[in-house]
Amino acid sequence: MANPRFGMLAIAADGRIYWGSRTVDELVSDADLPRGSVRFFAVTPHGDIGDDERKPFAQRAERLLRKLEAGDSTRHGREAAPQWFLAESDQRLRAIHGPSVAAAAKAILDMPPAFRPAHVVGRASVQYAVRSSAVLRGGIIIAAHDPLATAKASLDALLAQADPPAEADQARRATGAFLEAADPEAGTMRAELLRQGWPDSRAVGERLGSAPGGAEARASRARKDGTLFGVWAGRTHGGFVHPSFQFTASGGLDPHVPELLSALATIPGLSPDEDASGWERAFWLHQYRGPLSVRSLAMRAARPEAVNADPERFLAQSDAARQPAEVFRDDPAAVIHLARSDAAERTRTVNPAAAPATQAETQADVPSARAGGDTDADA
Amino acid sequence: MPTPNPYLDRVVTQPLAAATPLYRVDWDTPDPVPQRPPTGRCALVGGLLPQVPPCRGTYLASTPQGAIWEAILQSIFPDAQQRLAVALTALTHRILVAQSPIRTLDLVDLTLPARHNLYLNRDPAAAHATDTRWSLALTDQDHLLSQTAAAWVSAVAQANQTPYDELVWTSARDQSAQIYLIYVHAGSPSPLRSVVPAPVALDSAAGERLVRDAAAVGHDTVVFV
Repeated sequence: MANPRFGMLAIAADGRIYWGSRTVDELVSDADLPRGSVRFFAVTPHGDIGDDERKPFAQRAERLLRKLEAGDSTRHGREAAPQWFLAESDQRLRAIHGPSVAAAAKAILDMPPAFRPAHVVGRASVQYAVRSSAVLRGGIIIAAHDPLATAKASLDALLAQADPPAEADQARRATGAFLEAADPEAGTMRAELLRQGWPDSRAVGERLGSAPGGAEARASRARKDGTLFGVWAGRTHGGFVHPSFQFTASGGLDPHVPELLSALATIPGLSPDEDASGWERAFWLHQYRGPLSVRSLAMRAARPEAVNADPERFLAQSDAARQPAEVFRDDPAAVIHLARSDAAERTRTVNPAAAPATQAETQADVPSARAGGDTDADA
Repeated sequence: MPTPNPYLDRVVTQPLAAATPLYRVDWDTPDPVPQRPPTGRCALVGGLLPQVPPCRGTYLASTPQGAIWEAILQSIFPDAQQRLAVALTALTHRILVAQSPIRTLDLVDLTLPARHNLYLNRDPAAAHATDTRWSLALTDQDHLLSQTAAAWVSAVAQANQTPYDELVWTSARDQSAQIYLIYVHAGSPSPLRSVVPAPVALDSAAGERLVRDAAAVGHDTVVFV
């Protein structure tokens, strides 16, 4: 098979499950994994994991994940880069590094079909396995970032989908995994956003003044520093791409971006740890929101007496909802205020540690605590 | 009143019968910040009129769909394809509950045409301007004007010694639903009790259906993101 592929089960940091495939080159270059994600790769007859193969594969992945969690001795502590492992008959995991990853992948592909997917446990074992027919069975390569609990919960939810609805709901509630199957339209919306042609890391890094060789690293640092917002589009689609709203007309970064990202991070589910791919925040930025209409912003800026004195003037203004990404360039404060309002509305026992700060902020804003819906159960 | 009242001249109340079925979106666990200041449309936030202190209250809707529109979908609008992008996290730990008053409540009706009873004697131009203020207050996504209006209602009621328990208005997003704000004074027991059906967790398959059904009222499609 020309350019053979590994079937892939990927679990994002937020627990969403994706099925796909990768060539060896793509598998190796996927080293730039978002934090908190896990991927399992195995050779399959068709290069993909077919529908009827998914549940058995997920079961194997779940067993391996338990071993990963338990087998701290095979890992090298918390590192910035993803950890790679080879699995042998689901019994043993070995950490592998650097060129061993590609070598292991190629060795599995080179094995006789009867031994595919074959286990490979490190470089020496690859050579041994190639020389010997007494090979181990069922090789899986795993790329993993900490933490793994989310991935484990996602697999549990996936495997529980045949269970009675109440239990499935419980698992779904924990991971949101059911939504991926229930809402393919979300994928359509992602694709529509990506068609806007947001600049990738290299383009952004060059905009920020880096030479081409260091541009991607420059963008990566800016994302880590919280001055640049990126969305993971996939390795074959540009890697991280960066929504246009955050750039000034001259191409630089808007100085209000850090404050916006900090505000978004206080909304449950939208912190960088919870939203490693950036897609939750991307959707927030591109939702149509009533509090950002021209009329609402005008009313918020005016004193009630002014509105009462000339209500027709305000009524004549547009009440069309607008996207935060659309409003940010002209009125970043309004977008940041909306993010804080959303955080205040959604922060409850979901994130009780944030409650005292949220309360303080809310109290400070009481005279202006107006935007948002009638969303509080209590006034 | 020392200042001309932009919203009403009198308070007129109507009864809301005990056991009237109402719905609201609540949290599945108690609020760890129980003294959260009041916010939201027509809330009595305090500080707007000297004689009107803050007062907590409970929002309810006349229909389950109305409750979901007010609590989950209120500030989200559809795109050109009529899609409402709703974050899953907005449903986490939220439940739809049914409640009803344990006694007859006195309500001030801000729906049309009942609202005109509050400013019957104004000349047409002034009445039109008053209508416009109420329209802005009860529909705009910024709530300060409605909170100001609510403070004026409270002030007039105090001056006229016309007590009331709640306000009702038409939902800005789901016009087939009415929204009730029942004020709960400090130290007073809640006038509401839970009734059947049992609460529905919104972050479940059943809750997902409820949210989609609510959006369908406006011919919109929910996309969970």
